[in-house]
Amino acid sequence: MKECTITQFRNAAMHPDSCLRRCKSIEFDLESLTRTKYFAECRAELDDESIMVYAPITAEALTMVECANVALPAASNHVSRLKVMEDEMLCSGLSSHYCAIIVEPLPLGISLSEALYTYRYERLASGLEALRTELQRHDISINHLHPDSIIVDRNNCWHVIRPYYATRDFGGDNEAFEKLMELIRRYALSDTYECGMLHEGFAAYGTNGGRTTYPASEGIRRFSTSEGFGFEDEAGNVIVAAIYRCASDFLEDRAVVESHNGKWGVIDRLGRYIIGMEYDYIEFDVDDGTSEVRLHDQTATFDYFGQQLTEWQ
Amino acid sequence: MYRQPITHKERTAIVFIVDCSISMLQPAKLGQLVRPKIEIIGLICNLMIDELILRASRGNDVRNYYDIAVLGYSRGRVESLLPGDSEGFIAIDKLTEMMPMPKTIYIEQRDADGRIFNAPIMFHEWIKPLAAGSTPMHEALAYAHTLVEKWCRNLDNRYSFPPMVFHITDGACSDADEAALLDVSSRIMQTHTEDGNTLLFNIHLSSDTWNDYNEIFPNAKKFSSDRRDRTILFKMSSPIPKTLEALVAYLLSLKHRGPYRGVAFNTSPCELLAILNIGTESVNNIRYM
Repeated sequence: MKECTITQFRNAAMHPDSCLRRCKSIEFDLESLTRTKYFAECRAELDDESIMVYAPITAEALTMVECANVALPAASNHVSRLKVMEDEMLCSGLSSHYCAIIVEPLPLGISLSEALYTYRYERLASGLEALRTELQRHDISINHLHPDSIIVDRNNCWHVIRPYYATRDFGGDNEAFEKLMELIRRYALSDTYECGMLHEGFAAYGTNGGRTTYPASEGIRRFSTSEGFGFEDEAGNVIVAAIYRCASDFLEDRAVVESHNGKWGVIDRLGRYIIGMEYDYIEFDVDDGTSEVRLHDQTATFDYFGQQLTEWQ
Repeated sequence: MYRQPITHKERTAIVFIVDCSISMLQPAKLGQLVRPKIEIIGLICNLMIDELILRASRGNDVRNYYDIAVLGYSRGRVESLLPGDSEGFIAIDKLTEMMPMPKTIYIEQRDADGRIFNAPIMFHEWIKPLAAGSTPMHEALAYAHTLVEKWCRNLDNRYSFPPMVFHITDGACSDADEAALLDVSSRIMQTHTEDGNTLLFNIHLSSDTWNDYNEIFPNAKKFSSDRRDRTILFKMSSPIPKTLEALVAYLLSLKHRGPYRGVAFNTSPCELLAILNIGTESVNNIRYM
């Protein structure tokens, strides 16, 4: 059996030292663990490098990677081959077996989803054209180009990630290129946008008047400006102004936020306070909907609606 | 297609998939009854099951016109919410053998003279869903796919009216990406009997914290949305067959014309009740044979 289940992958990601053969020092970002059509995937760090780890959850997955690797160029700045590590991961269950994992180095940069709201039209349009030329030069189609499968680095070089649908023959991405161009026309910052307001490259968030938008969670996107973090819907309508120093993504209609004076609270998707901004630290637990709230070195538990459940202790 | 009368030889299948994530604790309103969404959904599903039993009854007997499954999902797992140890479908006559004690709740209503009174609603508490954790929607749809595929492969069901799957949620999936969701829902919709493909309805429940946008069974050709989650839910839902269009338009009081898509956004509990009636109304086709 070559594939695993998402539960087995989650288990291996939680215990890499006992479930992985060679890559025991991988540190998985468990919050990023998700499932795509053929793979379970999770971001991770290995030897200070960011990587994406894929585990095959269908029988066709590995064959697809092998075919893609045949099509992908041996050396390219824009797209690289996937590294298959055979028999690497222990899939424990009624009958345990080892399956392969696929490792892909992640380039430093931001996803095109974020770049769309961060960079100017001209810059993004030229990046897209450079990617198209590169794919044409190598005569390949990625067949899965979308804003979350492209990383834009600080030099405006576009890197394709998750290239496991790649095939020989250029042309399969024509429709995707048109859609991406449409997105760029629609969302990229205008070239006449005041330069001082631009988020330039990879400066720390909020230090230069820049605006960065993060991928949507539950239909709501976090964004940051020089004022702080706020939230907007997917159509770009601001729901909560950028008034927080720090904010989490929405999870089951709740987000934890920190004000500029260091006080924490919980808001709902209209920005209403479920737990007021008066505490030193808050951790929301999606499993039971409770929040562990800290104030003056004492903690108490609050329920999903902000009612205090336990005494301070 | 979609014309097969329901008989005890050619029964059909109904699956309710209920999102039991923690956000379902938020309040919703059914008439004057304000309760957590999860309780209201539980009440509506219980009333629907009672209705199905009633419609499948003849004299003192309940005949097997339906196989029914109610799945709940949260905390990374999917489970059957029906009584007994079945992990999937239960024939409606078998379910009746496990009938729980009836329960009555009172909903505040106004009579013709404007006076307030408490109207009793009696139902059997077949399911008692609880809200907790995140939203493993993919897991639930994959589970439902396994059930309906097996049901459709059963030669006894070959000529039956195809299964209807009602997926009720108030949030976004937490265990899969867009492609995986579209893939699993398309696999559900590809299962079929000789009478047609399985019908998958996705019903997004309103929340008092959501905006006012509300759309029930939009015209499939005119639908467009800026929001990716709505577009995904739209693509995950079945086109309503021509033969059911009139029934759907009547039950949901739709003002617009078809072709309809089986998806509803920011649905109120009353609208949910009407949508689920598509399942029970199909029993009007029952032929007592």
